[in-house]
Amino acid sequence: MADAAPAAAAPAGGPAGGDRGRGGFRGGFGSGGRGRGRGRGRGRGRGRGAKEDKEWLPSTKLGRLVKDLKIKNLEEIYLFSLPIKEFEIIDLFLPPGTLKDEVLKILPVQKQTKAGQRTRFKAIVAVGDSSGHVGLGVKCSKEVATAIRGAIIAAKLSIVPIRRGYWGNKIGKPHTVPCKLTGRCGSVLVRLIPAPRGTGIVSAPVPRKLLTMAGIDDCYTSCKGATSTIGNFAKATFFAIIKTYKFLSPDMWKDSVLTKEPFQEFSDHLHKHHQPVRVQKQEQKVY
Amino acid sequence: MTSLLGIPDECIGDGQRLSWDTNKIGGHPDWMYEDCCLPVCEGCGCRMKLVVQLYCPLEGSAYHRTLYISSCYNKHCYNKPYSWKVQRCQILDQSQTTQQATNNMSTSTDTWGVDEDDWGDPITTDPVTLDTKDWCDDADDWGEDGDDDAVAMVTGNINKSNSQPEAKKFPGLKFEQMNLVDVDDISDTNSSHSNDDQTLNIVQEETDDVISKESVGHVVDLLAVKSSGKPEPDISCEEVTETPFKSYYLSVMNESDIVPDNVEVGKLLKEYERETGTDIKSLVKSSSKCPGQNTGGGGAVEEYEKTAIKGDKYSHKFLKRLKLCPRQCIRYCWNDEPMFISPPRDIGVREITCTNCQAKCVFELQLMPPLVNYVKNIHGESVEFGTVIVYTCINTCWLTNQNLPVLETCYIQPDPDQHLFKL
Repeated sequence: MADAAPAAAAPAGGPAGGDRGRGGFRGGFGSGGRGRGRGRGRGRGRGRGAKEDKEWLPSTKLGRLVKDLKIKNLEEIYLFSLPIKEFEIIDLFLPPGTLKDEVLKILPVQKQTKAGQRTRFKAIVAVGDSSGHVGLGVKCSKEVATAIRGAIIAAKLSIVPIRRGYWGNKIGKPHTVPCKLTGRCGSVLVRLIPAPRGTGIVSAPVPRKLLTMAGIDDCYTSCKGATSTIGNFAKATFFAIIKTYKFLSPDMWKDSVLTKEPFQEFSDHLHKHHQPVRVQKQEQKVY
Repeated sequence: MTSLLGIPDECIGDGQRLSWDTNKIGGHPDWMYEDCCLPVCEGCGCRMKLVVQLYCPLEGSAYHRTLYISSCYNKHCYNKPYSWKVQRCQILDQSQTTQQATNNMSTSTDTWGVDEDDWGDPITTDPVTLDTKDWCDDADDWGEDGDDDAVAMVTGNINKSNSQPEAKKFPGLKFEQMNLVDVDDISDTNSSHSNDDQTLNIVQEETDDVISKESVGHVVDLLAVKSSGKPEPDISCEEVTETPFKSYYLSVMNESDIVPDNVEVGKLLKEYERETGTDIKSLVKSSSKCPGQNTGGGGAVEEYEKTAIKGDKYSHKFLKRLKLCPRQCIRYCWNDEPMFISPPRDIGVREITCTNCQAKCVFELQLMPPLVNYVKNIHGESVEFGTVIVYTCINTCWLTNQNLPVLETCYIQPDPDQHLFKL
């Protein structure tokens, strides 16, 4: 393909934008790189406005619904298990003031490659609002800052709700885990045990940070395995506190009024119109 | 070849002079010929609305070439293959023909060759390149992991973008930063949001529950229920055609020129250093000096952890690439590979042939999800899609006296979570 011709035509579109003002050149599309296209339009020469750039433009359906405030609550997303793919959704419901983040550990890790050993930095970040939401993110990268940024985003995307309960009398607000729970990751096992009010969190520093961010005030812990691997230790604690909402406790035994399931209509229709497939009976061979 | 990204710019006012070489979103199409008009939707019979008009002449072609991408507005036609149409119009460029007559038709094979050489180039110290590379999956240069070919594509693109021919070809051009001005259509209502304390207790113990019957009810309204099969227009067709989408200019940038926004982490780092007493700089130095040393006491060793991709791999990679420039609405790269938002089913590129000349069709451009925010009507509803991939004739066939547009093929992928929601 000849590109002598486009090269001659393109500069005509560029600097000849005198009437369009500075910053007015907007190139065009086309297969020759920027193409011969000449854009139209007047830029006011203003640099990137801070307001427009910081504004979030959602790229997923859920993000659009959240931005339009059709979904009022993070709990509504959890109730229907809708996948959250954009961390800005979390930022909208839990603004940076309420959601605190903390770096648990930054450490260099190595991997054996054909060219020798390569070092990357692994960042482990925990986020939480101290009232029922917590997330944990791990990210490896060549640079420390990039790893931390990536870990923060991963932590926000992994935010889960936590159920709190009582140790004894159900007076006041819930303050501890509802029952004994255990979580595992690698060789590390973390066991969380309900504690009476005022005990505080009796544990090693890493689970203590996570439990504080979750909003659990009192808890006994028991840990086993190679807890010096902070990555596995934090993840084991995280898996344990996720289980609070997976546990069926006696107060949930009673059937609550079911909201109409979104797929109810569909299943009713199937039931009415479904025809079982008739299979022709095979001749039984008699030996 | 590096991709070009189309980013929405300022709103087009009323008195602006537009023509078929304007890149824009929405509005009325600026046709090259008199008799052209927007197509009619096969599903519901309504006339389609213009979504994007792009001027994209091809290298080595003597024609001005514009693509008009239009979509049916009707809700029942969202994400259906017949609801998006691409029309291509061409007109002979008079200045081109005279120039080509004087110049030699030298097919410069050396520029093709230069691109080939750049496959093996090491990463330059260009800060833009490094930053964009780091955002990609960092497993890519750990030897052969083998499963991140999307990332290899990006790094390949970025390597190619360092190639010189671009600058040589257009010496007079300056690739300027985009200027985003008053996009007043996007409402800014995030600060007034508050958590509400609802009273219904699903679990009796929890006194600080936030789910209530009303909130559950209105989310159920959004979620998918079996819908009837026939598409029926719920808005009158005349109203639909008279009000086009609000129009904006599109500015075009190279993907490699984009510098992604970075979250500030300095404060976090300082807190970490203060609390644990470690010094990050010494950590960096020690790790580079003694690569054989492993941290972690005892027998336990921390290992490199690849980011686990939960669920949808395709959409994860798509969104990751999209986040490098979150405002991109068009992704243009002629004869390259498209980015799929979900596994491509029943799409065989070899089977797509041009309706006009039966030649092969190649990928030209795709529409990206942020565009959905710009194609809103007066009620605030927008046409939903995940990505729309446009394939055009490799020969851009056009008869000399033709004055009607040629229909090109497009492939629609809905948002991967679309099945969970009710339209």
